[in-house]
Amino acid sequence: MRAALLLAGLLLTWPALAQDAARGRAIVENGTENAAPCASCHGMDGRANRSEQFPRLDGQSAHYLLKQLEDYASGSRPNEVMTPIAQGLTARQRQDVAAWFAAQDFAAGPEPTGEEARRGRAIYELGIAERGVQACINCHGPGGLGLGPLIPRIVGQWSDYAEAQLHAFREGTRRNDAGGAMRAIAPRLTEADVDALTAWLERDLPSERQHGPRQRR
Amino acid sequence: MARTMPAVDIVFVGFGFTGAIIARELKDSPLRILGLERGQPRDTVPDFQGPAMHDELAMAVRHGLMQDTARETVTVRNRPDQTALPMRQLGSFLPGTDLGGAGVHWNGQTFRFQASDFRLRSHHEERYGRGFVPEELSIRDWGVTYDELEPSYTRFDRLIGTCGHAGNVRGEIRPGGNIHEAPRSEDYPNPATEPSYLGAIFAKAAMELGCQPFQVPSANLTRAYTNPEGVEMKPCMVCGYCERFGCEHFAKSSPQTTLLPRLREQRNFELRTGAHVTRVDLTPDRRRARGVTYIDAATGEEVTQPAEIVVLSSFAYNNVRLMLLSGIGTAYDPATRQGNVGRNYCYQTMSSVTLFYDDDVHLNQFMGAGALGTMVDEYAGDNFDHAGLDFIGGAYIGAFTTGARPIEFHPVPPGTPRWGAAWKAATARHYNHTGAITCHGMSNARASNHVDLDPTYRDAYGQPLARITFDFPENDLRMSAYVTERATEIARRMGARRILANPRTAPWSVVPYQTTHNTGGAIMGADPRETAVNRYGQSWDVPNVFVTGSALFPQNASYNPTGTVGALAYWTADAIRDRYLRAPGAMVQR
Ligand SMILES: Cc1cc2nc3c(=O)[nH]c(=O)nc-3n(C[C@H](O)[C@H](O)[C@H](O)COP(=O)(O)OP(=O)(O)OC[C@H]3O[C@@H](n4cnc5c(N)ncnc54)[C@H](O)[C@@H]3O)c2cc1C
Ligand code: HEC
Ligand code: HEC
Repeated sequence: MRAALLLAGLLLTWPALAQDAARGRAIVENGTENAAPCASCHGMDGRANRSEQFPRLDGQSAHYLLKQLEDYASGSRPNEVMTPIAQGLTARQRQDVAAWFAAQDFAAGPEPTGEEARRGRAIYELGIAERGVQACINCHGPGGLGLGPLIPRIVGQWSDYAEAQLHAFREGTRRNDAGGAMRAIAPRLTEADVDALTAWLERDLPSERQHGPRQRR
Repeated sequence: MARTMPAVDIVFVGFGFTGAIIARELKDSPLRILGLERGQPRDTVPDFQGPAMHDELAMAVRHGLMQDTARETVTVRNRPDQTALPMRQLGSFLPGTDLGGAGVHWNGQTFRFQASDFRLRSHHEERYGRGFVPEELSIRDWGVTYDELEPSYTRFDRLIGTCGHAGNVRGEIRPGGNIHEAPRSEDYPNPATEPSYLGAIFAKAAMELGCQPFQVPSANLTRAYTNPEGVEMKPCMVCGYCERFGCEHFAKSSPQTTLLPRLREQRNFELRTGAHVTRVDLTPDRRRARGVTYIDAATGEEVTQPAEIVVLSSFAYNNVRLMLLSGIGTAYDPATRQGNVGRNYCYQTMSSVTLFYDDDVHLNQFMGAGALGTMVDEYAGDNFDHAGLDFIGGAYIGAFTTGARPIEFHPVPPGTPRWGAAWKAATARHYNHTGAITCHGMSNARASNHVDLDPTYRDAYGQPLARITFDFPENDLRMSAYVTERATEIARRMGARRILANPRTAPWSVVPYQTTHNTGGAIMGADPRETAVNRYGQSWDVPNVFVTGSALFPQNASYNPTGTVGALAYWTADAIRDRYLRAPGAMVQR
C-alpha cells in the first residue's frame, strides 16, 4: 500500500522533470551555439573521467548544480572553462542540464580501506579538535551523501577535483559558499588532511574496477 | 579522612559562562586559579558533532545534556503551607551540567535589561507615585545602575559576538533596532539575523499596529567572527538543533566557543572536572571562607580544597543552596520576612498565541535557530504608560522560529483527538502551517516566593535539596493577560485561519517547559539585612565569597537573563581584580 502510494507520487511529478531532463539531454550531448557539449568533459551520465579535473555530476542535487551554473555565470565561482559555458546558457537551459545530471544514477564502489582513507573518514566523521575543524558529516551528511537541496554530495567525487576545490576555498578563489562555511574550514586542513579526505571520498566506479589503485603525487 | 589539596588563591564552584569569564579576567593576576566543575569535560569536537547531536530523543526529550535528577534535583511547591515534592523529571526548566553548563544548550537570545529595571522600585515610585506598586510585591533596586554596567554589557556582547541591529547608540536612535533600549556605547559586533517567514509576517502586522519590530539579538552567529580573546567562531547553518543541543558548527556562543580555548592555555588556571562541591568551608565565626569541600566523582573521595577566595558560579538556586548548606548569611523565612539568603526567587511569566494557517502557507520552521526571532519591545517593562492599569511590568512579544523538530513539535488545534488516525492526520495537516507568538514576561518578587533547604529530600551525597516555593504573583497574572491581549491583536493581523491565546495561569507547574530563567535567592542590593550580596556580588557576611549569575537579580525583567548575567560577571571580575585584590575585605561597609 505504502509502496503504491509512493509510486503514484513519483508518477505524478515525473513528467515535468522528464521534460526538463529531456531538453537538458540534447544540450549535454550536442551543446548549444554558445556552449560546448557537457558530455565531452562530464560524460553523458555525468561520471566524468577520474584522470582529468572534471567533477562527477551524476545524481547530484539539481538545486546545487543549478546554483553552481549560476555562480559560474555571475563570477562568484570564477573558472576559465566553466564560466564561459555557464554564461552561454539561458536560465532555462541551466535548469534543464541540471535536471539531466540530477536524474542520472549515482553509483559508487566500496569504501576504500587503508591507513590514509581511514584517517580521512575519521576527519569526516569527527573533525579535528586541535584546529577547530567541525566534522564534515554535520553538513555533508552521513556517508558524504549530501544534504539537499544546497549541500552537495561529495562521496564518490574524483579526488583531483575535490582537492582542487578545497584549495580554491582555502585561497578564496571559490567564494560561493553561503556564509563562508567552506572558506572557514579549508584553511585549517593540512595537505595531508586533504589527501586523506579525498582518498576516502573517492570511490571506484563499479565498471572501472580494472583501473587499479590511483597514483598519488 | 578527607584528602587535602594544595591551596589556591581563588576557586570557582561550577564552570559555565560566569566562572569562565571571571577566571579569564584574572589571567594577568598573580592568583592561582582553580575551576571545579561537577560534570564531565566536553568540547565542540568531538562531543557536539552530528549526526549524534541531532538526536532529538536523546537530547531534547531525554535531556542528554542536562542535570541528572536522579543525583540532584530541587523540590517544589507553590505556597509555604504546602509540602514540597522533588522534581523527578526535568520540565519547567532545564539546568545544565558538565563543562560549560547551560551555556552549551541555551538558545542565545541575548538582551540587556532596561535602565529602569535596575531601579525598579524607585522608578515606579518616581513615575507613578508611592502607592502604585502593588503591596503584594517585594521588588527592589539592584544597587547598580545600567550606566555602571554598560561597559560590562559591551564586553559580553563582544565576547560572544552578539548579532543585532542597535536601536540606540549613545542616544542616537536608529530605526530597525530596538528604539526603546537604553543607550549602547557601540553597535553590535555582528549584523542581525535575517527574519524567518513567520518573523516577516509578524513584523508586518506589528508595524500596522504602530510597533517597531526588530530581530532578536542573537548569539547564533551570522558570520565568521573572531572575538577579543582571539577565538574564532563560524556562521550559523540555521539547522534547527540549538535550544537543548550543543552546536556542532562553532556557531553558537558558549564557554567552549568563546573562552575555553584561551583558558586552557592560561598558565595560572587549572580546571578539575568531576568535582562536586558540597560546601564552602568557613572559619568557626562564619566570617571567612577557608576553601571548599568537594567529592571526587572518580573515587567518591571527599577532598578539601583550601582557597583565599571562593566564587559560587554554580547557577541560580544552586548558589543559594550552597550558601545555606555552608552557613553563609541567614536563611530567609517568609513568615517573619527575616533573613538575607533565599529571598526574591523569581522566574519568567511566559504566555503565547498559537496561529493555525491554511495549508498553502508554508512556514518551514525546521529552518530555525535558537535565537531566530522577530520581536517588538513596546509592551516590555515600563516602556508603556501603566497609569490606569492595575499592574506593573510587561513582556516582549516575539515570533520565534527555533526548529520545529519532529518529535516535540506537533501542534494541533484544540478538539483534535489525542491519538489515533485523526490525530495523525491533524499533525500532518498542521505541522508546517502552525506558528506561535511568545510573550516573554517580567517576573516580580513577592514575600512567599523563596529558596530554602528541603527538610526531607536529599541528593546522592546526602545533602538537603534546594526547595523552591513559587507561584505567579497576582500582579504578574494581570500583566500576562494584558500583554497576551496585545499579542493577540498582532496575531489577528497575521492572516491565520485560527488563533488561540494561551495566557499564563496560576498555579505555576513544573511540567511544561517555560524557561530556565530562574532568578534571585542571593540577591544584590544596598541593605545587608535584606540582600545576600553587595553591589559587586560579594557576600555581606563572608566577604571572601562572591556569587555570580541570575541568583543576584532582585527580580527578573522582561528579557532573557544571560546578557545581564554575563555583564555582571565582568562587573564582579573588575571588582575582584581592581579593588578586592588591593584591599581584601568588604568592599561596601555594612
Ligand atoms: C534550554 C535553555 C535555553 C536557554 N536560552 C537562553 C536564551 O536564549 N537567552 C538567555 O539569556 N539565557 C538562556 N538560558 C539561560 C542560560 O543558559 C543561563 O543564564 C547561563 O548559562 C547561566 O550561566 P551560569 O554560569 O550562571 O550557570 P551554568 O551555565 O548553569 O553553569 C553552572 C555550572 O556549575 C556546575 N555546578 C553546579 N553545582 C555544582 C557543584 N555543587 N559543584 C561543582 N559544580 C557545580 C554545573 O554543572 C554547571 O556546569 C537558557 C537556558 C536553557 C537551559
Ligand atoms: C571543457 C570541459 C568542460 C565542459 C565542456 C563542461 N564542463 Fe563543467 N566543469 C569542467 C571543469 C574543469 C569543472 C571544474 C571547474 C572548477 O574547478 O570550478 C567543471 C565543473 C562543473 C560543475 C560544478 C560541479 C560541482 O560539483 O560543483 C557543473 C555543475 C558543471 N561543470 C556543469 C557543466 C555543464 C552543465 C556543462 C555543459 C553545458 C559543462 N559543465 C561543460 C569542465 C567542463
Ligand atoms: C558548515 C557546513 C559545512 C561543513 C562542516 C563542511 N562543508 Fe563542504 N561544503 C559546504 C557547502 C554549503 C558547500 C557548497 C557551497 C556552494 O554552494 O557552492 C560545500 C562544498 C564542498 C566541496 C565542493 C563540492 C563540489 O562538488 O564542488 C567539497 C569538496 C567539500 N565541501 C568538502 C568538505 C570537507 C572535506 C569537509 C570537512 C573537512 C566539509 N566540506 C565540511 C558546507 C560544509
